[in-house]
Amino acid sequence: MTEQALYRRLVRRSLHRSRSAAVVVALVLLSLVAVYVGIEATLAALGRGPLLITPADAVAALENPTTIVLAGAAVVAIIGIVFVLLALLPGSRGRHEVPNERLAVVVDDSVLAGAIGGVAQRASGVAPSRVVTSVSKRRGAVTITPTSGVPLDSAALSATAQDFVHTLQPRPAVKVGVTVAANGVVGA
Amino acid sequence: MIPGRVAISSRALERTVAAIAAGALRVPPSTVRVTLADEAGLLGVSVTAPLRTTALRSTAPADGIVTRVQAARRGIRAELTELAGREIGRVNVTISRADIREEKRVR
Repeated sequence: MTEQALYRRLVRRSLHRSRSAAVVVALVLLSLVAVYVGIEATLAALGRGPLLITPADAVAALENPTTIVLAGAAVVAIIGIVFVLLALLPGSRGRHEVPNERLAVVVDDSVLAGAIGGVAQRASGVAPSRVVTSVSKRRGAVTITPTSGVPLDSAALSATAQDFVHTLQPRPAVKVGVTVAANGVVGA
Repeated sequence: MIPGRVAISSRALERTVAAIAAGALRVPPSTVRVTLADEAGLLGVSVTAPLRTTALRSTAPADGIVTRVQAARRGIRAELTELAGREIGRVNVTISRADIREEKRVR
């Protein structure tokens, strides 16, 4: 494996959750069900009494379902939906890749948010405690509480923050918006 | 631009407003009470102060109370904008009592 390919693989593993835990659980459940069905089939073939229910009774119950059977089916369906979602969703870990010539760099979204918030705070001149920033996969949101009587230009602040993000070039790309709260605070 | 920022505490702003209002109304600063509030991003000012006036029987010429308080409000607004560099919203002035000064006879 070349170094570039290794880095790509490492970055991908850092950005996305592994599906191995879900796979292990799904396969263990599946094998337990298979073992149980096998046991019941064997007991029925040998003419012995069933462990819980004979295969013939089980098929009959499925053809004319009672409330309990329907409830059980619903539970199984929900478990199935959860596994489908675990398999299809990207499993993002709240991180972004930052391109670098020599290194594989992965940054937590909270760190990215702190950096963007710091830029917006210095550009706006308010106290750091009045700036709240959050970063999701493709969006960053900065909310600034202004000082009463000191108007802030949210468009200019958004442009400043976006310029900073452009210098970092996080992947996936992040679009930043700065919101100035409608009501300010009197003291500094 | 120099790195860093300027912060003015609300206490400092209040005392500044009190001093300006005292000057505009010509009463001692210690008799002026000030409340500052945010008004949709603007600085709202509420001043409670006595009104300095001459005795009711006085024959000295004077403007009406409303005229003088309006002038004081304009003065507070202009001076505060200049001193504190804040955009001012409402300026409320409440006259709590009269500060009556008998003018002295010219000897």
